[in-house]
Amino acid sequence: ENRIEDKLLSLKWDDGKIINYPHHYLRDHCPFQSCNNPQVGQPASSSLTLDSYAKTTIKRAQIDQDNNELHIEWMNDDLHTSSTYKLDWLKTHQLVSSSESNKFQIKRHLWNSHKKYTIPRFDFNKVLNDKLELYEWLRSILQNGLAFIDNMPTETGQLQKITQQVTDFRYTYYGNIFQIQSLGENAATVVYKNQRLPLHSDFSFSNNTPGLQILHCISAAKQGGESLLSDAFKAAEMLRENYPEYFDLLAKYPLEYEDKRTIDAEFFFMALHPVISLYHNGEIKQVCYTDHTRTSILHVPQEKVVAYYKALEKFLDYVYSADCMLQFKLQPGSMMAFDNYRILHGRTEFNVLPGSKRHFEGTYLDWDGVMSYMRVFERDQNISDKTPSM
Amino acid sequence: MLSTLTISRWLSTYSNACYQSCKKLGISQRPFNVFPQLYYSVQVENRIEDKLLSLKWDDGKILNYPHIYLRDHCPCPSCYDPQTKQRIISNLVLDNYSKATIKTAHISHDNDKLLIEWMDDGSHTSSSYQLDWLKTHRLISSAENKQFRIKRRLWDSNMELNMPRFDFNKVLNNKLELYEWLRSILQNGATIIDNIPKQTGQIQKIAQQVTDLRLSFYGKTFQVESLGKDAATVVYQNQRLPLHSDFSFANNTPGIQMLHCIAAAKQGGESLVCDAFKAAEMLRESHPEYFDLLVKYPLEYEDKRTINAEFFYLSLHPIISLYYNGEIKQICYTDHTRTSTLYVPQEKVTSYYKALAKFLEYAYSSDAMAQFKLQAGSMIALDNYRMLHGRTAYDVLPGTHRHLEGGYFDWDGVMSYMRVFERDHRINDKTPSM
Repeated sequence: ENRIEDKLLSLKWDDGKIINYPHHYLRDHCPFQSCNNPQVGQPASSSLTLDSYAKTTIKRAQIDQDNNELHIEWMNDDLHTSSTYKLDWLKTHQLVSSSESNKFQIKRHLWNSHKKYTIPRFDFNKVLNDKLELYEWLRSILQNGLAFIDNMPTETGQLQKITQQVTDFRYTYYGNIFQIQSLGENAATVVYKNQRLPLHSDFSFSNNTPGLQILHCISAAKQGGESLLSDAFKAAEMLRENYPEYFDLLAKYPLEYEDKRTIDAEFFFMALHPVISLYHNGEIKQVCYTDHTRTSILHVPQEKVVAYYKALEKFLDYVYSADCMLQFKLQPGSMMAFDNYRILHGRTEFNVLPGSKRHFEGTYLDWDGVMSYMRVFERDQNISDKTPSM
Repeated sequence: MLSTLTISRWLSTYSNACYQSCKKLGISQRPFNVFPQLYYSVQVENRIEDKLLSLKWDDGKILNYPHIYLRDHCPCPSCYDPQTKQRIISNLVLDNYSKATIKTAHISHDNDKLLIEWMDDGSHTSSSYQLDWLKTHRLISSAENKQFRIKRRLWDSNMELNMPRFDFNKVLNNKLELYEWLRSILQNGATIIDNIPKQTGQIQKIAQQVTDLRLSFYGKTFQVESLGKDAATVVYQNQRLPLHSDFSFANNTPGIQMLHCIAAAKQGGESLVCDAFKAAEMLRESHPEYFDLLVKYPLEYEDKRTINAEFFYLSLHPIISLYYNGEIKQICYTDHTRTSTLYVPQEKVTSYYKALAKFLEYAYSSDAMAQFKLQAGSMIALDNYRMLHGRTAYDVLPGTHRHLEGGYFDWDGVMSYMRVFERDHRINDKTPSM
């Protein structure tokens, strides 16, 4: 049914469902030869103004059952008079109304006090040699926020064997690969000293925060130095449910982060990040929080500051609670990889006694590169549950 | 009798000199005042029930500081590490200071500090804050219009003739010129550098001084040449390229795009450059409901191709992204990579397309867009968060060759470079966060 006044085309499918397709949307994605550039697989048509199809209206529309197609004749369209759409395409390109819950994003499994103990563990050799294992490992980081790999040699240089199969390192001023060792007096940041590190995200002072953080334990401290990980998405959802006004405060006002130091050259990074970032439909996209790099500049209006700190306090209560936080000792030869957009990490303090050394090797990857790898794999292996955009 | 002004000028000069020598000795660079400013008539009122500290400054202005904010940023050695210049205390939950309340507060005898005694704060019983610090850390109310962002100069129809131009040799050899060039990109959105040798490898010379070129699957630099049958994307063919942002299919879009013209086409191939922030502000003013639609709903972008390896990038970006206070942070729009998946609820789709049409109308108008021929030996640098760029069609006739070399910087690295320069040269107008 062509509802010309509303500029909608109504299709009633076999299951009785009626879906409306706005005329503009169909015209914008016309699959016709002249609207697409077959050599490069990109649309040749450009924007509405240039091509004057903003006034386009459907004159007539007809289903062709034999070919499974919909034929459309246009009017008020400078460039062309007809289009043909495959019914299959129309089926996968339904536009949902606001009232329908449009859960389109990555399907994440939030932690709870039981689930946090069932994080998948993988074997190093299998991951290196079996592409499906490698893919499953990446998928676990995306869905569970975390994955472990065991049976790695306790030497440096192991991480790149895995990462070079996936994507380039993300270069930071600490190098592509960095070493975290107990250094005592010469430490550049609190990370490199041996005291407790509270739960935080890495590189909050960068506007583009790293996607994955990978840490390989080469030697563990004799005492202390346990890893703390928290599913901050779970903490945020708990806050949203119990204190929606606090959730809104943390989503609205950003904190400022900075990092000023000299490593090879001088740096002065600064960034703004709200604690909670949302997609347009309200789903959580990222949690960002670091104490040791946040500045004393507060972008919260004065009359809301007290409430903001209360919101932060409640959120952190949840972050450190049993439902969200996991504490464990990563053993030499094991590696943890987590989603730096979602998981906050820290460690307990440890002793730097003679004979006690703690050495981790680490690196970061960006989600853009990792997800690109996953999508190519999904396409090549015909996996239907595809990785959407971050 | 020396006037206060003369004294404070002398102090300031002396303070600067001390700062420079301390810097050479490697001494702390944190808010450093050899001779902090003195305040003679600050009045303090501790409003315990509201958990606020009220300060009335010399100019009569009253500013409120929540107790918890002051506690959170106590600069004493047990709360802040002078060696790493990072916080030692973490947060109010871990370090248990959510109940900290100011018991007493008064100005020090030498008129430069605020001295506080705490209660309900365990063994942490006192703090001392420089009045200078308190002045720069005043919290303002929602009602005050806080313009804290990068001061941009939006375009008008004169921009085509007034594009900022720099000289390549000066930029390479004079650090202040290099800084001014970067600052111009930030403020004006686009700049041109002239007198560049007509060969590849020139962009690298700038990168060596500022920050690494962003590595993409095209490499650190890319060549835009008419490649005819072998072209991988529309960019490498010779037809018109409408206004767009680069790398929209990446969640992390490049900050600065540089295009160095090595050989210009004989006919056509003119550059189109648009200040999309200006177009968006025009939309916000004339059609606020359209503006809101373009802010709220994202478009999806993808790029699938094989260059050295196979790629399948996917991202979501609304056309207009805002800071929390409503100022525009980024514009992102590309036709040739946007997908047919639309995240706009069905009942709003027609309006969304109307909003898009209006925005594009402004983008292509003379108030926002400039069209010109980039000459061989010149390079244009654009803020890819703000500007849209394109080109007119050109001819690939024998004897006609068009060759541009391009590269990208990320804003994080460029701004870090600018801030270090500002600090070293005591430039007051500092680059804030993107």
